[in-house]
Amino acid sequence: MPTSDRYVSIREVEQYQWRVATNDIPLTVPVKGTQLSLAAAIELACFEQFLLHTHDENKLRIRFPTCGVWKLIRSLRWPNGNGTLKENSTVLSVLPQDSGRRSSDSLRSLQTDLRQHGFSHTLAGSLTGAAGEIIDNVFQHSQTELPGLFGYQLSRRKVTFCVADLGVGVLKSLRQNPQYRHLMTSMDALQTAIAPGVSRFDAGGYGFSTLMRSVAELWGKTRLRSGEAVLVFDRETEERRKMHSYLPPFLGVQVSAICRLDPPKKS
Amino acid sequence: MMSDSPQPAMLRRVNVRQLTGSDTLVGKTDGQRDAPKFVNLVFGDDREESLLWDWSGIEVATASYFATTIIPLMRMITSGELAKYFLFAGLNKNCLDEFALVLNAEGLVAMLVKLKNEKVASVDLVGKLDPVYANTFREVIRHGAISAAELFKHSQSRGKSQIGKTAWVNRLTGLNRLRLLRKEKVGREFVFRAPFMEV
Repeated sequence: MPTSDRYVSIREVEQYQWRVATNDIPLTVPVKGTQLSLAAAIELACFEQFLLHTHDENKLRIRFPTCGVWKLIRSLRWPNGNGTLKENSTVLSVLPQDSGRRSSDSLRSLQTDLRQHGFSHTLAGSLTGAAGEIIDNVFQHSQTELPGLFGYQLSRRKVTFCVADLGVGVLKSLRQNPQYRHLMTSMDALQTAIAPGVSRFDAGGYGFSTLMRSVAELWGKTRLRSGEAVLVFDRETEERRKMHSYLPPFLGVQVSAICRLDPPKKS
Repeated sequence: MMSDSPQPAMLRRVNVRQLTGSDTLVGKTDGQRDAPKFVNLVFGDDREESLLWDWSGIEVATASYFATTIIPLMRMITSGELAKYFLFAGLNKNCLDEFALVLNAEGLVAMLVKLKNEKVASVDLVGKLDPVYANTFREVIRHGAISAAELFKHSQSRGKSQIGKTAWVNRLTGLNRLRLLRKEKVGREFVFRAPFMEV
């Protein structure tokens, strides 16, 4: 991992996970002084929880960054803490499992903020609905007592939102439905789950479809991660691409969406 | 789109904003909270009737919400367990896209109406329906109320003689089973009309 003060992408956090998985301990995360994207910070927070879940805490020497988003995550004390914190253009909110309704304030705030950052009334509603659906997946499908984490970051005509949980993941969830018991890998499960109407329940399974519909007309990237599988829907160019990759196994489901109203500037 | 001769029926109008007490209806969790309200309202009156679900005032309603509240009731209607006709109005673009997403995935179809002076001014279908059935539905709406024999005669007079009378009967019966058309016995034949139209 880099140690200079620069912007760290989620791709680098992914590479770091491979290094930890293949080199074993000592598990240090030397990213002090760097700036993390919201998606990278939340991925790193989940990875920390995964390490704490799978390794002896005393043998871990985790040194995490000191950038703004990371400080915000630390201040929230997720997954043990509660509440919502806002700093500049970033909002982070713990999603407690005991009440799905608590997310409604965060969604209302997202909708208002989107309108203030150049998103039309229709787009603001659409993206708020998408974020709400993914948040609801945490309550409906993570099957853990640990709370999820929701965050969004706004700049002019751009929004990033992320939802993460530390639950059973898509594969274990879908396999509870006899219709999907044949699924053997997280990649199969994730590819299946993005189709409308696929769920561990007989009814439902529209969260990912709503997300895909909402971001379809916007520039950016959508990333879904569960288990060892990652799906990325790249909308950075006119040609929309769907990519998949593998990472070391992980807890729960992590979803991030970067949505821009304008195409990326050509260098 | 509609014939002027039949009188518009009185519809039981349900304001979803008032029913749910919220303008943001997101996910299965909200749906599970509100489903009993929908069920109580529908089962509160066991007469055969048309219910107009008015979604104006709803800012956000997502696919999972529809799938948990309205879709199970629509399934009961199409399976014949519930003697109701559903019409939908006032859905904004997002809500309509989400509703269509669920209808297409579930293989269902719904009537979307526009109102003028509290009366149905136009109707469209949203969801999954064979184009042949959709065309038949439009024919019925155009005539107001019509039997299979009359549709057969009309199609012959317009040179569409390849469609037999039995085919018209099947299409109309299919639309009635989907609760898109009301069926009434008039003399020796069945007359079909949209559920918001009266004789």
